[in-house]
Amino acid sequence: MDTFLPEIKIDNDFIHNIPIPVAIVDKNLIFISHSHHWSVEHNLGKESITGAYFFDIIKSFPTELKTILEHCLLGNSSANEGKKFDLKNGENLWLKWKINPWLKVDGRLEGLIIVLENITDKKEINELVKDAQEVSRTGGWEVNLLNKTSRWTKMVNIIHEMPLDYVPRTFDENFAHFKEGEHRNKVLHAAKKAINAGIPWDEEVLMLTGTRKEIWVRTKGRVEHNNGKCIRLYGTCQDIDQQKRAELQYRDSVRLLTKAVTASQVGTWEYNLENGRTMWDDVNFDLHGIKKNNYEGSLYTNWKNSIHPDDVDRVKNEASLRYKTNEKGIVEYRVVLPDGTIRFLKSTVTFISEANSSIQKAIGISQDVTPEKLAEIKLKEFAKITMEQNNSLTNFAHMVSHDLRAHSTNLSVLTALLQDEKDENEKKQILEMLKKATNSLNSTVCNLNDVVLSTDTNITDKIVDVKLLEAIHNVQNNISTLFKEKKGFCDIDVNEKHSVKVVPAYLDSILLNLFTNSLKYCSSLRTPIIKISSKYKDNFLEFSFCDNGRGIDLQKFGANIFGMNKTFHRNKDARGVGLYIIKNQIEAMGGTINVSSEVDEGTTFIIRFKI
Amino acid sequence: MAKVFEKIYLIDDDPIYLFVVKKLITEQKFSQVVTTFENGKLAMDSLLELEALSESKPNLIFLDLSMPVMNGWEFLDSFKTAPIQNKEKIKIMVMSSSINPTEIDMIKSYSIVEDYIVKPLTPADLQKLLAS
Repeated sequence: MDTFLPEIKIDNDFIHNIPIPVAIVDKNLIFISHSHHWSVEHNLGKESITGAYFFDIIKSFPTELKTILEHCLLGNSSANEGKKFDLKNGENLWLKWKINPWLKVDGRLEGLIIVLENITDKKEINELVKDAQEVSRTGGWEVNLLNKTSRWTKMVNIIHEMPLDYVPRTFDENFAHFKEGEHRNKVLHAAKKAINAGIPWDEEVLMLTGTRKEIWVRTKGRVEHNNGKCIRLYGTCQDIDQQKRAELQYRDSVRLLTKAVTASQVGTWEYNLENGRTMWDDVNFDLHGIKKNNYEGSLYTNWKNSIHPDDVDRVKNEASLRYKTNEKGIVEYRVVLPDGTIRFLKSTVTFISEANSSIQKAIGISQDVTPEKLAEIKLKEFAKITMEQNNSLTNFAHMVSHDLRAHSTNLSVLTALLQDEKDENEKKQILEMLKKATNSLNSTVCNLNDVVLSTDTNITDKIVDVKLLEAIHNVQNNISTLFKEKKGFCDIDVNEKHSVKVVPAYLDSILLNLFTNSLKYCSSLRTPIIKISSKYKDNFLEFSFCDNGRGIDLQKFGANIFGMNKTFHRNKDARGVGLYIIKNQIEAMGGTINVSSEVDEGTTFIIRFKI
Repeated sequence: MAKVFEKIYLIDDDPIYLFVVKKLITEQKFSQVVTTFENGKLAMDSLLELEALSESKPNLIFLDLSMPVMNGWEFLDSFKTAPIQNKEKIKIMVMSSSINPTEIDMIKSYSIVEDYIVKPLTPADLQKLLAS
């Protein structure tokens, strides 16, 4: 074979073993020899390519390479650390090469020595890394502690808004960009700890860029040791300004919300319907008077125990109904706080399902509505009083109209009759009637006057302390004739020291009414016995007046017994008015009156006076 | 004309009113027999007695509302259930001084009540009754 190419001394075995992808071609780009690495690098298999044309073997190579090879065949060298070629199939090809002309001693060109690497994969990963750095805005840096030099990747310069060729000239300059004070101190401290103890750092701090803009960066660093000596400090610098500001803003909003929720005293809670797990915020604990860190048993039990005993069953029913129907709504209940005060809570509940799960939760807010509730109760009381007063006024108006009309009718008819009457006897009779009618009218007007006076509530300055027993004896004396006539008997058990706050005239009127009623409506079958007693009860003096008379059918009259549904212009039926008047008098003095009675057995009035 | 109301009951606890109505009825020759009662109970007892003796009952009753013992309302309730034959032949006129609208409505809800008259009773009221 040497005869074929006698002047070319090439040891094929030697070249085959060269550990780089190298090939030798002649002037016509025919392979003369190549290394094993060449076949591997360009996926050529095990078959020999010696004697084959360069571009027949590697068809995918771009035509630009041909131009380069032809340029070299003119005696030029060519080298490239990595060039990108766009292939016809749209893919990229990265090649790195070194080509030297193969010259004989006499300068004649024999062929080319080509070292050619396909660095596409490597390049593409580098590209990805570069992209990643750009997207994540992360750069790398290092400080050589031996010679105090620093190196930054481009991205670090970009983040710092510094010229791309800038590098810190001194060790301290590496930290000068962090914002003075808390932030710079934090990084310096971390670097010191890393150098002394080898602890890596990861901090989020503020820095000032070359344009004096304040941005948030994440700085990570670690050290390299050699023989116990720290020789290198390196790490990354990431621009996290947008995320950080968003996070800070979110934190601010959360803090504001928490503040608002706390300030508004709205408690929030959550109840997992699957596993019964309950979560409360601090306000909810406060609202229920339960110590957040100091309660025993389940939160549910504690909640139940905090509810007012009268509300427990209702709340449990309403809650379980809501949980069954998943219907949002409002549950109101009272809680008894540890100090015994009662608080009205309004709990608004709604139901949610968590995404991607069947878990059902009830969430809600609790509010303290005590002032509103108390106001509402007071308002209802006022409304009730107003309604009662209105009713009694209407009643009064109708009664006045009825009674006055009755008299005026009689008077007008009688006078008309008198005018036409010729018979003297008849005239006399009519005159007699007229006299009766005017007397009745007079007594009606007196009674009306009493009623009006009894409803006068402006009596505060007339109230004095009166010994109850003395008042009873006085009235008893005044009606001694009636007592004798009815053969009545009194059993009085009233402590002589018991006194009440009353208008004396009212007390006399009340006692007089009770006595005369009892005697007037006594039973014809029994000796009238009146039992009177008194005792203190709840800041009142409770006065009991009990007779054994005919009694009142309360089933029939109950609600109206103290009302003005009875006319009062006829003496026969004066009882209704009397009770109406004394009820007004008692209530005007801040007391109460109740009645119990059995027909044919007797009547008991229980009156409470202020003391 | 006098044949229509042979017998009249007048139930009222006000003697003056009884006196004037009785006088009016006599003058107007509205009826020959006028019986007065001072409460519903006495009138009801009388009706039941007439029933028991099979004697003729009144054709017309003037009834007051507020009375002791048995008031007008109680009389109406009692009359509804009383064992009295030919009740429909007994007309009941309620007379009262009350102009309370709820009371007037309640009266009108009683089917056995012919009409309601606000006192006083006038000759015109009587003429109207005769005409009906």
